[in-house]
Amino acid sequence: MIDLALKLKNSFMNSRYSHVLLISLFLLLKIIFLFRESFLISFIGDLILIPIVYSFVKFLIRIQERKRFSQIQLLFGFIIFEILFILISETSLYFLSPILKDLKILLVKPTIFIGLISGFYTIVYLLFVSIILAILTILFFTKQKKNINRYYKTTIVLLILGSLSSHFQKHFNLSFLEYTFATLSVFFFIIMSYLNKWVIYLTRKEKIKVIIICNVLLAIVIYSMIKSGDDGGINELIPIFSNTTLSAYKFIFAFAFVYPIILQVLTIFQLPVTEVIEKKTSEIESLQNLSQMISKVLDIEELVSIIIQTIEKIIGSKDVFLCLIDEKSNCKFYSNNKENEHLFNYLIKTLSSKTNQMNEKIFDVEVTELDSLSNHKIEKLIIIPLIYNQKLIGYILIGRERTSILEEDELNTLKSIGEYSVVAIQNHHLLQKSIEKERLEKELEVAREVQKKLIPDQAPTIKNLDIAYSFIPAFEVGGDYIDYFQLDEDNFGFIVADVSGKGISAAFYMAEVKGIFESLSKILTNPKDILIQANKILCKSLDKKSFVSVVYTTINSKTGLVKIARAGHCPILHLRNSKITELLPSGIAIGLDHSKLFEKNLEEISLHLQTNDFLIFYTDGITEARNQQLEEFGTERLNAIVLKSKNNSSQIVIQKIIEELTVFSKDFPQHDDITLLAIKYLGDKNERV
Amino acid sequence: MNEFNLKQKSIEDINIIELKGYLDAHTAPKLEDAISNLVNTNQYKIIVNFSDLDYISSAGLGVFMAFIETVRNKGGDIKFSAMNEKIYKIFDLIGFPRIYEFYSTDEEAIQKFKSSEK
Repeated sequence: MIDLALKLKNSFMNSRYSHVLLISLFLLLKIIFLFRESFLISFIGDLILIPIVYSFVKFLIRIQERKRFSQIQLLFGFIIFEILFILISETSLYFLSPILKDLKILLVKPTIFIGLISGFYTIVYLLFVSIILAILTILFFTKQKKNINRYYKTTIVLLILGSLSSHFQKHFNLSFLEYTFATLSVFFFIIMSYLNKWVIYLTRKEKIKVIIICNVLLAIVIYSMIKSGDDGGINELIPIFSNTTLSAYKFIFAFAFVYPIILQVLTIFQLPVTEVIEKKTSEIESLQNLSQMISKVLDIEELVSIIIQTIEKIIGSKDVFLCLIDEKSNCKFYSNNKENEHLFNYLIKTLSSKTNQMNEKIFDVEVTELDSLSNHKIEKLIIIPLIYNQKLIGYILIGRERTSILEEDELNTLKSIGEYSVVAIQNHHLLQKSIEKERLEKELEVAREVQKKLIPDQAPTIKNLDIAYSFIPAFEVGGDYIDYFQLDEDNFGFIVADVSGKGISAAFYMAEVKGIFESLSKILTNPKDILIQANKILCKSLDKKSFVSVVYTTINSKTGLVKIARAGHCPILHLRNSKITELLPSGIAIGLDHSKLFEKNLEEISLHLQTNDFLIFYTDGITEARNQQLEEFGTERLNAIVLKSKNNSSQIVIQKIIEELTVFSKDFPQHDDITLLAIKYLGDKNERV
Repeated sequence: MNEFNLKQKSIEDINIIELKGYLDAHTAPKLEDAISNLVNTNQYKIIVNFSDLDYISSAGLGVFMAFIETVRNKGGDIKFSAMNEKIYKIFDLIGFPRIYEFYSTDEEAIQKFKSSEK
């Protein structure tokens, strides 16, 4: 039978007008066979009621899914429907009493009018049954973690069986069947009520509301129970139409009585633990907030302040400190409570004496000396070490007013606070680093721009000289500088320099170097004098760590007279007749010595260039360029290339060097500027003519 | 890229810093910290051993320049020892040998410190 009913249910479930159809079918059946006291027909009629109630309950649950009433609202709805139901029965009693006077006679031979009234009440009762069943179902499954489906299905099946068995009672006098089913059904219902989960999640206030509502509900149910003895015959009227409806109503009534009692007991038992649960919930919320803030806060002070606030909220202490340890192992303290400032010295002292015994564990320290320091009530200090990558990056310190042992769950909370804080702080550091990196890249861009402007775009065209140069800046701006100055009609000054350091500072020193040499070259003619003066000026502005290596050369384009002074720079290659001489006049770099030592050590050499002589100037970016095997390019390779291409123009020589250098270090990033200057003496053609 | 490492040891009041690997703009701060710690604790007799150093950039050279004046004013010195030819060439080009003392072993440098005390 139940299988059949279930099948019926399923087949009608998908139809939109299923309940309209079913109700019409039910009414039709009843009206046609109204006065037939046939067991089979009334039984089939009641069977049709099952899918009607089922689909209506389903419909109500779907409404709840959309509207999402709170559990308290649902309980309140429970009350409203109960009251509404009582009102309907009370008022109708008033109207019906004259009609129902001779109920006994009417029942034996009912008229169509009585049949219709009975039908109306059947539908009202069915509505009540469906609504209460729907509310209970929703409440049972709210926040339910356990699988209560088994209990629920058993209860419903027992409810159906119990309701249907009322037929047997009427027709075959098997009343024990209904009572057995009723008892079993209520038993399973009690189990389900006991498994109610949603009460746990309520706040204290809400729980008290639930208790009040339960009592009101109970009062209403008891009231209507007392009244039911004197219902004026409705209870006898309904069976004319449907025996099962009345039975189901009684079942639901029993549920409505049991549920508030159990719910109330559950809620009362839950009250004391409410605070703990509320605390846990707020802990989780605070931690979530913290993790959300992590990515938003750029300022460390603000971030620390948020961390401290979160801890204060969770722990409920106003004495929370955060200490961060920087790379130089200095402690910096933070606290949101201004009054705590005087505690810092004490804390630092305490911490430094305890640092040795620190490991990853949270520990506490009894505070004894504090009484004399202030009127603070802190008796205990809980210390949470913040550890990242096995490195101590700070502590969280929590002052406690009472001396108590840390509970396991408190320890766990503190531990997760610690972990969250570490993530927050590390994230901040990483963010700072990436900002720093971006800043650095911008800075390098500026440096490259400066360098580009300082260096001439083109090699000069000078009579009798074939000049070419190449300048390849490194990503990090190496500080190379190359320039030339026309001293008079025939004399030219050339400078190749390398400012130590990289980036923006190198670029600015380079600018200074350019200014100094440009002005000095107008006043002085000897390379040595120029370098001495340049050292004097630059020593004042260069920082202690920086120096500049320079080669300054003057060339007379007419006579080929070359004067060279070298201040700590790479040697100059002089190619003559297939022979390379490394010119290395003594001299220390500018900025290395502020006294007479520079001048004493500086040597100036001079030579007369012959036709087709080459002078090659370079910076260490060439000789120190590396390949993947970390070998350096070196001077030998450089010399060999120069020798090989001696019959070519300066441009070709430079091109060859750069080509070979590129091939050599193709898999290794260029880490320094590369500067090359080649000067070929073409001889004084006028003289020859 | 080769790592940079430094080891420190002391013989009486003389501190020896042994450098290893690749000393450039990125690793120079480590050496700077080490020397700065010595200077801050009034230890001015410093020997820097270069036997395991593969490369030094201008930033590495700058570290010594930053401290030499202070150290010498306090009666100490920074002396270099056990430098291979390649590294020495870099120092030489720039002119360091005119200002700093170079020794082939730590012992020689220690002897020099001791004899200058007398």
